[in-house]
Amino acid sequence: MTRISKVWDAADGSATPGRVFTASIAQEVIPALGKRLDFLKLGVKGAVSTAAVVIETFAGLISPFTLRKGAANRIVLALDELCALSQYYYQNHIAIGENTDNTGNDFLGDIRIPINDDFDPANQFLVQADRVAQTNIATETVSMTAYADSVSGDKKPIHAVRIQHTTAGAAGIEQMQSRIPAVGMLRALILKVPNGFADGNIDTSIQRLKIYDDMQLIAEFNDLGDAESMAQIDYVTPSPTADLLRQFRVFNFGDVGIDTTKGTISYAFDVQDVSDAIVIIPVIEITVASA
Amino acid sequence: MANRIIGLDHEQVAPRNPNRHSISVQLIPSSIVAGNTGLIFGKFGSAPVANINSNANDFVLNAGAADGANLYETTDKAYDTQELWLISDTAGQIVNVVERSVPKTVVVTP
Repeated sequence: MTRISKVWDAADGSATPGRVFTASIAQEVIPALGKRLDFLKLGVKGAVSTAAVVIETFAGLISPFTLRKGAANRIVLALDELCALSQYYYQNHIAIGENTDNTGNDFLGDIRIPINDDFDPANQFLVQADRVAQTNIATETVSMTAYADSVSGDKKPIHAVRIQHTTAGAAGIEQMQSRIPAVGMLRALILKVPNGFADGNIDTSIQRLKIYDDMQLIAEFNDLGDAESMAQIDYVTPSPTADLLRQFRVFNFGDVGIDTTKGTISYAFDVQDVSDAIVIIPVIEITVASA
Repeated sequence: MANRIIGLDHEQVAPRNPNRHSISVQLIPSSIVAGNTGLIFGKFGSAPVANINSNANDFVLNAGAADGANLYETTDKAYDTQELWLISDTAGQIVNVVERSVPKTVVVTP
């Protein structure tokens, strides 16, 4: 039996679409709602003043959202990265309302955050939302709902924690020093890059991606041909949804994925726009009990 | 013992090590490295957040401080065997990382 419960909201009968979010929300517990927490759904609203605020700027409002199970980080992502994870994992379209003048509101909604794990009184689910004020945005609210079930399911728990990186100062292959967290099956690597394809640009932050297992090349991707499209992407005249999501490049490892718990999974980039601030998001299905 | 430079990007200073005996991290005192004026945030198993108010971190260090484990028996294994990640709120912070492992068990077949 499904159980759906509000975690963050305004009082019933209120026209305010969510909990007041004019300051960060410190760590809170998601109470046990049954056997298993399937996913969370998130929405954010902010009132605009003085000048229009484009949606990708508004999406900087939460940075980051953190979900832990006990001491282990499960989801640590900014709001726009949560949108990308939702789009990749569930193939669902997020709701967007982009303000185009100096009055009204910006909206982001229907953002699903995959959890797929059982409630455990010894290792509770803990959530936190760090707010980063955005110019010309005020009276922010946030809505979050927990979708739980009375029985366990087959889907594996998800680990998606952002890794900040600045690409090399010279174009070419950059071998990453860090390895993929050894917690389970790597299903996808989502890269957030500042420089992508456009009418007048063909060299991107990460032109190619290579994956190694114990230094043996096991997968290689090309940004143009292999990166999964997160929306109806138009590189030349994008919609607001495309503006938000086109900076995310999804490299998919298929239904099985790559086992990060055996051997050493490392990766390399072919950097063609140097010294870019990027974010690496490994999406991993957890198979290690302590993770 | 190895010195590592930690800045505004995440650094994985130790990979997963099932045979880890101990690991310690010290932000070298500013009396030795004058530029060590920031904070170091650490987390086992995933990348931390460079914010003292974040709940995503296992520990935070200021200059001279250290975090680690002292185990009684040299054959004890550390509780945390996952990757160790660090990040700072300030560029160019120099830390010292020391990791010790117990020998791998070798099975000899007569």
